[in-house]
Order: sequence, then structure tokens, then C-alpha cells
Amino acid sequence: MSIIYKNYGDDTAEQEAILTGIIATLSLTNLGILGINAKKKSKGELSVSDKLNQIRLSNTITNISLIAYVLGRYYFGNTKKIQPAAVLAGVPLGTVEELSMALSDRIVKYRATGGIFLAHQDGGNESLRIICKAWGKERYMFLILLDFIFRYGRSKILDLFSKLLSNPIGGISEQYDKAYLAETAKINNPWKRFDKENTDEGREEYHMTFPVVTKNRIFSSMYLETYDIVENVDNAMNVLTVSLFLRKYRTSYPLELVKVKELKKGRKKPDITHWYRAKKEKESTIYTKSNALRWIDSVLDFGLSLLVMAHKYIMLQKYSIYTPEQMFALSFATHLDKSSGLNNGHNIGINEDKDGNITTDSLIEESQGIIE
Amino acid sequence: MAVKTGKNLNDLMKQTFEDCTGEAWTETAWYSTDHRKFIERAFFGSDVNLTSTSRIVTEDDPNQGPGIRAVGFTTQALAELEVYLKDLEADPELKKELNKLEPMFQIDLIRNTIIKYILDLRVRCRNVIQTQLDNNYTEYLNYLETTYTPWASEAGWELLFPQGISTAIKKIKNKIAEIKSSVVSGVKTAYDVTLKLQELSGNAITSTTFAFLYKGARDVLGPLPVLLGPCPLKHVNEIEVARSGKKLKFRATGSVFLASQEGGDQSDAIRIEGVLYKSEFGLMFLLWFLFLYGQSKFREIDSLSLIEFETGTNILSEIRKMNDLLMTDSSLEKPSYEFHQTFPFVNRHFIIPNCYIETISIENKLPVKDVLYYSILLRTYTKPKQIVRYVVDEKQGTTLYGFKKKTVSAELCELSLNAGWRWLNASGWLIDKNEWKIGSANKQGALDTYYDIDWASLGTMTYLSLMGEVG
Repeated sequence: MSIIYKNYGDDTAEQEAILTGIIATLSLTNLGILGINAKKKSKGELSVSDKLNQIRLSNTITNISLIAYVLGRYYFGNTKKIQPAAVLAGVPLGTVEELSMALSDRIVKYRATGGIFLAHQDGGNESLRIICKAWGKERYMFLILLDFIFRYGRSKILDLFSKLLSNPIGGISEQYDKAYLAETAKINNPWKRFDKENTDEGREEYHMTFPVVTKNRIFSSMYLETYDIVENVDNAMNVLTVSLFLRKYRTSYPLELVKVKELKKGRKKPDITHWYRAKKEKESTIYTKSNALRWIDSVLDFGLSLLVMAHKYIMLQKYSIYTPEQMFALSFATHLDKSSGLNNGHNIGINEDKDGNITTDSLIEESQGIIE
Repeated sequence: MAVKTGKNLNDLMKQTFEDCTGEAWTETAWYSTDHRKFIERAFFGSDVNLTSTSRIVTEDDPNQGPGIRAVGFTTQALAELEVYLKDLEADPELKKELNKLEPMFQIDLIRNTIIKYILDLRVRCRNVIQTQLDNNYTEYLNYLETTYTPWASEAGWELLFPQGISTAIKKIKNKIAEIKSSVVSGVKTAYDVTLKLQELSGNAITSTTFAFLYKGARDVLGPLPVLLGPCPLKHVNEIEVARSGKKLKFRATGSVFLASQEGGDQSDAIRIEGVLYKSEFGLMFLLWFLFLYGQSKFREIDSLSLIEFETGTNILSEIRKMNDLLMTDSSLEKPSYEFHQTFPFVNRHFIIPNCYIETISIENKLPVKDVLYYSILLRTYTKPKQIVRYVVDEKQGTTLYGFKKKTVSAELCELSLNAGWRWLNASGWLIDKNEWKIGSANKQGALDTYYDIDWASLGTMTYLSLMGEVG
């Protein structure tokens, strides 16, 4: 299985076993969760909070499994010490021209990369843009994968009121005094009143997510918001320029809803019921009592990114057999992912001779304009 | 042969259960579900237990063993049966049921039911025998099949279907319709079948047709980058396909730009730029025709079929969950929606079956005057077939509408078709993989690196995609 390298047969039996184990765990756990929920649903016991928890759990399992898999393959099972610039949900992208990541206190928007751009952008405050090339017969497979990845992360809608009205499970408290809200409202998440007949307010958008591992950072909980594929005669029609726009999505935490009834004394009309929900501000996550859940994305993103960098540093020290020239060539080959451009496609231009010395092909330098 | 006496019945039994073991008969009798109530009252709900082996006459079978062949009822059993039938005729509940029918069929109905029951048992016994004796019995079954029709007629076929063969045919038709409806609910006409197929497979049929057309056009015209509906576009400079969960807009092309751009969520935007040489100027009219074909029209919401939900379903919730267009109707006008006729876009990498031209820009400029430069901006549009309606306030006439989304199977069909198309092209079977090679990545010094996707990654992504759908 050559998921990372061109040379078939790099994988050891152990790696195969680990991969199989991870995928099996991923599948069985997700199917288990879905099975439990299906049972609850048939009994009418599945609340929106339960559903959100299931999405969160499924996403977490997928993220952790795929990150573990990718890191294992790249940093522990890698005998060549060359990594693609990005790994998208387990799919390596070695042809990356640009990795553009942004983190803001506000929603970030994408500029157009071709002749098409997004009209309204309202995703999260963390984004990643990858521009890469695709060619050869593998590009067809790459497009198939993109379709799957897009479909996986595409927005789906939950109706907040669907079960809460008929089957109030999931932390709804009924109050008769609005002052309750002022007493309990969290500073970061003030309460917001909303109308159960309003279709927009009842719609909760969610995404299934996957991790993106790049050379320098790990992004968990990302989804593919948009992709743009250009065939152009200037670049040759056989080369596709692929722009991927990814955003981070954090599943909402279990909803905190309060039903406040306004008593109409001395009137025949029924009591008026108002619904309040802990308000989301700037796509920030809602306060939750579980700090572990709150920090899990940060741990995955920041903690593992640090680990990756540390490991790279150790690897550099350990394998100091590279000469500065070789390192120079290697960094071009790996960082910009433009190595030799050989006809047969079996050689990446960096080889190891019989004595274990690393040699680089002059075509690498030629292709980069380093030598004439 | 109408059943009138115990001898007649026994003869019929012997014919029916000629090679059936008593045990098999007894066992299969319990499987009967047809007319269960009647049968239970007739046989199991009384002391007359005709399925008991003690009431069955058996004889030796030279091949199977002693006492293994059932040939009929014992005299005692038949006597009991006669008594019971008399009781049955006096049964007030049964009489009530029978009174609903014409008097001439009443006594026959009981007999018919018994015969039908026996015939039913025969079929079930055959299944058991077939299982037990495997293929050795096939020859005998074939014999039975060929002799069945005259035998059944003699045994009282008319009694089983007292109103004639046409009634029998009607019954069979009803049964087929019942099976159909259980499999494909709501199918009545060819149009319904088409709708149902579209619901299950999306635009897969249209896509397949145009894939063949593309292949044919290539055979005639040579390498062809794009087939836009029936219009082949040969000299294409740029093809851009974008897909998003949000609304997409086009940038200006040449001297023209769109003032306000719409287009639904989760739709594709496609831009094609190229040139038409003098010999191809005729295509311009074809493109205009395509534009007119896909131009926006308005249709009344009432023309769509309404999805009926089960009682107790929160329809508002169903509407909220939809990603597609939501509408309110609080005016006196009839609620309508924008509609586009669509055609497929086919190239090496995509088959997108439901496109319409939003904008065409054609320019004729120096230095080459006899060349037309064109930009075609396409969008996808999913035709609504069914609608969900929720009346918010009947007095004020406020109603919410939601278009039903594509089914998972339809999306998967289209996805699989695209995947198949790409595999086909990747293999070089349909399109030479070296086409448009000039300046390609195979040229030294352009681009190259490791870029591997295999079955493992494809499998993982497929799995995740499906999980995402049901998640």
C-alpha cells in the first residue's frame, strides 16, 4: 500500500496491521454510536443534545484516528524523511503550491483564486487554503476523493425544536421568572430569545470534520467548504489547478435552553412561553462544564503541532548525514514540492547510494532554477 | 370435481398429497397465514384437529420407508369434519360474514376455503419436499406443473374463483400491484416510474446517455474538451469548476460583469472560456438556443406533488432540516418558484447533468477579427419534484414551503457514475491519456512529486463520506 510514496511496498506488516486496526476501530465505534442513536430514535428518546454529542464524538474519533494514522506513517514509519506538504483527511498532497492559514478574532473570508468566488462567507474564524496541482491519471482519483471529502463535510441541518418540544430531554428548565436568566447567564454567553416558529432560528448547521496535517501544523475539525478546479491551456490542459478552501467547525456543545413562561393573571389567554438559548458569539463555542471537551480541539491542534515540530528537530539531529547542499536541495524538493519532474515518475530525484549517502539529481536544481 | 362427499375429499387429498409425508404436511400446516382466522376456527380451534398425524391415513413408501406417505383422512376424522362443518354453518359470526355475500356462494365458500387451504398446503408441502429431496424432485415438480392446470380445473377451479377467470386475473393484478406498492410506493404510471427512478438514481440515466454522446462526438470530431448539452466546444482555453456549500459568484469576464448574481446553495459554478473559429460560428446560435432553453421561468408551487407525512410528524421540523429553498406565502398571488430547464456538461473530469447557462459573453475583437471569444458561465439547478408544505397561520394565509432534497441513493448514484467516468478516463480507454500533452507535467522541469492515492485512501474516504451522510 503506497499511500504516501510512489514506491510500492514500503509498508511493513506492522504498519498495515496498525492501519487496519485504526480503520476498524473508527468504523466500529462510529457504527456503534449510530446504532445506539438509532435505537434511541426509534423510541423517540433522541434529543438534539444527544445528536450533537454524537456528532462531536464521531468527529473526535475520526480526527484522532486519522491524525494518529498520518503521524504514525510520516514520522515513525517513514524511511525516506520526505513528507508531503499537507495530508487532507489521510490523503497526501505532495503538489502543494500554497498553504495559507488564517486565524482571526472575526470571521475570515477567502479571496477569489480564479474566476469564481464565494458570495457570502460566514464560516468560522479559522481557515486554511491549499492550492495544489493535479495531473497524470492520479488526478482522476484525486477528484473522486475530493467529491467524497466535500460530501462528507457538507453542511447538514438539525432542527433544534424537533424533539425539544415533544420530548424535552437535554437540560431544559422551565421557569416562571425571567430574572432567572440574569442570575444564571454566563458572561461569555448571554442568553438569546428565539422563536420556535422561525425556521431560520431553529436551524442548526453542522458539519462532519476531518483533520488536515501540514508540515508545520495540525488542524483538526476541518471541513471542505469550497473547491475550485481550473484547466487552463497556459498550464496545459492535463494539469489541474486545485484550490481547496477549508474551515474549522466545532460542534456546538449540548444546548442550554430555558423555557420562561409569562403568567397572564386574570386573563383567559394561555401563558406565553419564551425560549432562550445560550447565545453563540462570533462562532465561539458555548460554555460547557466539561473542560476536557472544551479543550480537545486545542490539544489536538496546538499540542500535536508542537510534537510534530519537536520530532522534526530530533530527526534533523539524528540524521545529520545531510550536507548543507543536500539539505538545501532537499528543502526545495520537500518544501515547495517541486522535485525532479522525471518522465517515468518512479524517481523523486533524491536517492541513497550503496554506502548510504544521500544524492540529489541535478534535475532538481534545474527545475528550481538553481543551476542552469 | 366439486367436493361433495368425504370420498371426494379424500380423493382430492390423495391427489394433492401424493408424495407428501404426513410429518411435512403437519409441519407446513402451521405456516399457513392465509385465511388464518377461518382455518384456525375450522381446524385448530376445535376438537377436530385434522393436522394431527393420528387422523391421517398413511401408506408405505417403497423408497422412503413404511408409513411415510399420506393418502388422506381417517373415517373418524372425516366424520368429525362433517359434524364440524355443520357447526360451522351455524356459527353466528361466520354467518354474519357470509350474509354479506350472495346466498349461492355461502355453502360453496366453506368448501372453497377448504379446497383453497388444501391447495395452499400442497404448494407449501412442495416447498418442503423440494428442500428435502433437492434436485431429484425437480422432474416430478415439472410433471406436476404441466398437469396442474387441468387437474386444478377438475378439482374445482371455478369454485375457487366463483366469479370467473376474469376475477382471478383481477386478483392476480391486485396482488402484483400490492407487491409493487410495497416495494415502490406510489408507482402508477410510466411517469411515476420515471420519477421514482430519478428519486433513486438522480440524473444517472441522463449522465450515462451524455457520456455516450460525448464518446460519439469525439469519434466524429476528434479530441473534444467539452460537450455542453448537444453543443460540442472544441477550442477551449479554460474550464473552471467550483463547488461549494455556499453561494458562488463569477468574476468579470472581459468587459462584462453580472450586476447581481444569485444561484442556490450547494450548487456548482462552471466557467468555460474559448474561441470559435469562422467555421464554427454556427455554434453561437446553438449556444443561444441553449441559453433560451435554460432561461429562468416561473412555475406554480401547486404543480409539484405534495409529500404526505405520517400523522404526528412535525412538518415544520422537516422543513427546517432542508438545505434547500424555503418560501413563505402570505400574499394573494399563487406561490411560485424559479425554474430552469437543464442540460449536461461533460468533460474528461466531470459529468454534471443539471446545468443551465446563466450568462454568455461573446466578443469579436482585434487582432484576429474572424475569431469569436466566448465566456460561458454555467450554474447547476436541481429541479424540485416534491414539496413539503406547512401552514403556519391559515387565517393569514402564511405557508412555508420546502423542496425535498435529493435522496442519499440518488447522490451516491451520481457520485459513483462520476467516479466510474473518471476511472474510465484514467485508464485511457475512452480518452487517450496523452491528449493535450504539450506543456504537460511530463515535461521536464515542470512539476513532479509524490502524489499517491490508492484503494486504501479511496476506501477510507468513501466510508467517511457515507458516515457523514448518516451522521
